[in-house]
Amino acid sequence: MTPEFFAALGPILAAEPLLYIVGGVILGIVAGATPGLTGAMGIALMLPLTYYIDSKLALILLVSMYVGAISGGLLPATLLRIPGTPASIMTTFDGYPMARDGRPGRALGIGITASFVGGVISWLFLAGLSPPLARFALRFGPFEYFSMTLMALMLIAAVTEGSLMRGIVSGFLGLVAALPGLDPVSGEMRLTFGFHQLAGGFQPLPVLIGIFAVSQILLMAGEGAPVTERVTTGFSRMFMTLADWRRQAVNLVRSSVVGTWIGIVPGIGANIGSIVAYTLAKSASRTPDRFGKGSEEGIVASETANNATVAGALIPLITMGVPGSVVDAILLGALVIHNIQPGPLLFRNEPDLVYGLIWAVLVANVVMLALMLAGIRIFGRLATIPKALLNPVLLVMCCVGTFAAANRHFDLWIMLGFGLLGYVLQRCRVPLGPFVIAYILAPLLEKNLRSGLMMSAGSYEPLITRPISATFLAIALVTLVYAVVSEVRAARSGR
Amino acid sequence: MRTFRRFTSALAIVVAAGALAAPVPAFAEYPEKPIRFIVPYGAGGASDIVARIFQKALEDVLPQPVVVINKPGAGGSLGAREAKDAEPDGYTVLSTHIGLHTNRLMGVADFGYEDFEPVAETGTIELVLTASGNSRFENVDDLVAEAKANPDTVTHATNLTSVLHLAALQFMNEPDFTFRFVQVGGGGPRKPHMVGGQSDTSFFSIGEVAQEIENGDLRVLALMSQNRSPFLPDAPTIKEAGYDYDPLGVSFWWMVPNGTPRDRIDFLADSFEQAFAKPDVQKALADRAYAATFVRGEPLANRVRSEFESVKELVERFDISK
Repeated sequence: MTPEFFAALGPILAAEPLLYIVGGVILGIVAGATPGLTGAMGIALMLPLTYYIDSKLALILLVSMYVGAISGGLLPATLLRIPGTPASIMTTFDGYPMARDGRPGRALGIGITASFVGGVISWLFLAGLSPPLARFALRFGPFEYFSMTLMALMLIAAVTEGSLMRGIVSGFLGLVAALPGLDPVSGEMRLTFGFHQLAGGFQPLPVLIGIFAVSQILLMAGEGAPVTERVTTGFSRMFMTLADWRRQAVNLVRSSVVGTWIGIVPGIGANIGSIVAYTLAKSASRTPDRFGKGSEEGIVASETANNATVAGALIPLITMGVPGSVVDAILLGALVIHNIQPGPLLFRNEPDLVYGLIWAVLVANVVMLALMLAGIRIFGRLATIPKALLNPVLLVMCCVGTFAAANRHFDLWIMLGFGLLGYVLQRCRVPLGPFVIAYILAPLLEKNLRSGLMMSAGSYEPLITRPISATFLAIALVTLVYAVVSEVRAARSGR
Repeated sequence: MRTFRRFTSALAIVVAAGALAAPVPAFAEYPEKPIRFIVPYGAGGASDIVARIFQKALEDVLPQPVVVINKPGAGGSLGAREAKDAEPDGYTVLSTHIGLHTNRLMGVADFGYEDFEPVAETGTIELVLTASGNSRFENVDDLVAEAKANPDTVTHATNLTSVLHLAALQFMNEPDFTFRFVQVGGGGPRKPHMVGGQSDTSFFSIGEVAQEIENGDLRVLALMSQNRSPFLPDAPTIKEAGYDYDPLGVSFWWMVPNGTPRDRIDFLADSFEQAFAKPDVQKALADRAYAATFVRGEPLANRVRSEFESVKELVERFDISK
């Protein structure tokens, strides 16, 4: 930590930057807390508006939105079982059952505190360890990325709840959804069936909005919303007691470190961080059977880790210019638009900007904690708006957000198609998590394997001869064996 | 400049006349409504940045605002198709570059530069051939010597079928060797790939890797240009390395659909020329290390056509269209 680092704190606490931080966090929480609006979408929609403000303030605003959005996703995840952002998928497993049991305040309270702790611990990594960690990630080539992604897929397979078969069906459909479009190597059209609009494949925004938001709107419209009324009761025991802190201490630190590390790993963002932390917390727990039924440990793991990925993912972004997640890809666009070249030289050339940005992440976390605890009833209302009012507005927002991403009418049909698919899958009790994860990771898996094989002239050997890759594969294998063994054991004990 | 003055004075007269005489006479001087710039790539990319620079610079050149619309997808052919099919009335302008040629020649799009009228070229991205900072290659000679001695072993990270791939094919041609191509993708993933020394060589734009070159993470083997660049004065050109050809780069072209009236094309070209000359624009382009090229009219049409021929020759010779 250099003197420049501490010198950058003062300017951040001035009125103007603070205004941007508070505004950004509020916008982020609203985007995260409103089902159908994601942080990525909110930040993407905000981006054009930042062209006309100072670049430092613009970045502070966007990063604050990022912190707010990941935290705000907790609210609908708990109150509606809709992940406000994909990063809150794991929170729905335990937050919603707790809210249904009449303890939504408790679920939200520990979720908010966990978010804050995750944010602060990962911030320490961001501030202190950026350069050495970035140097390590530089050693990752295509084989390492492939093995790492495979490991992530294995970890996801290990946490799929309910029927393994349904999970596999979901994941398989996700892989299929990732296939159409230009072949990444040959540039040929693949599975586009003559639709030139499909040349770019199914874009993430229409797919994600369709599968998560539209399908949920259809479900809510068709069956009546599952919760909403429960939400106004039971906002008690929001603050964690000393005993709570003691009980969750290990979980908090472990999930923060896991979230930070996964954030640092390029391409993998908050959703994977929360999934891995959740899995680890479950396997380390003394009461693993509570997971998925309202476990406080589950909420803590998921929310700590997803917030930890925010600061973690900023590390490769600002030190190497490599986005650590989807949101960071948008932030990278913001850096470029504001003509800031991210890289190791950023710390030398523009210490005021980069250290100011780092401090802003910490301040945004403090602001998030205060706003969420104080305003939980107000933000919570975002989820309690009567569905007759909510659904049409949400559907319009889905359409606007989907259209705004690429100004393409065709994307609306894609959104609707995936909305119907999500609706049918949910009616058949097929989980949507594996679908989305497989859909997001499949291109990474394919591109890196194909790059690697081009490098090695077709040899698979480097997968196991390169130590980092071999380590990831070993973890993947252990995870797979563990999942199969516990499945078999569960089946035996069930009999 | 002259057209602009004539236009503003005409405008002043019209405004004055409008103030005096009522009702206001119907006056349909182009442009009477906002002009759309279709950027067929995502926000934040090089084409988008250049479009936004000119959007701002044209504010006080044009009497109407410019609206930038990003239409990404299919390597730029989705947005280009929309521009091609738009009304040829001068209100739709496409931002494009060599990608228009590659999409056509690779079979991604069934249309090409013949479907458009070029308006202006405003800046060029020059490419640099780089190796990792601790590479065994000090210069082009080292690279060529090893690549010729051990064919198909020197790895080259690229984005297949893009201009980078074509630039590599163009470079391989004369010393007559073959790279082992590795598909890594755009600058985002390729930069850490190269800094980490995963592949031996790769092409980048100067602006993309200026910092990595400065701090030694990447080494420049050659600048793909006839002349040295003010942004990398120490980098030898490919010509100095002994290969005399016109290397491919990425020039930013503005085009309108065929059938657009000649006077409107000229009006747009005048407007771009004025905006281009502004110090703000020059600085914004220089900040990104884009070469300050401006071409219009017949020379531009020739340039677009000859670049198409070069790309076509490469695609056919190396049979990379499928």
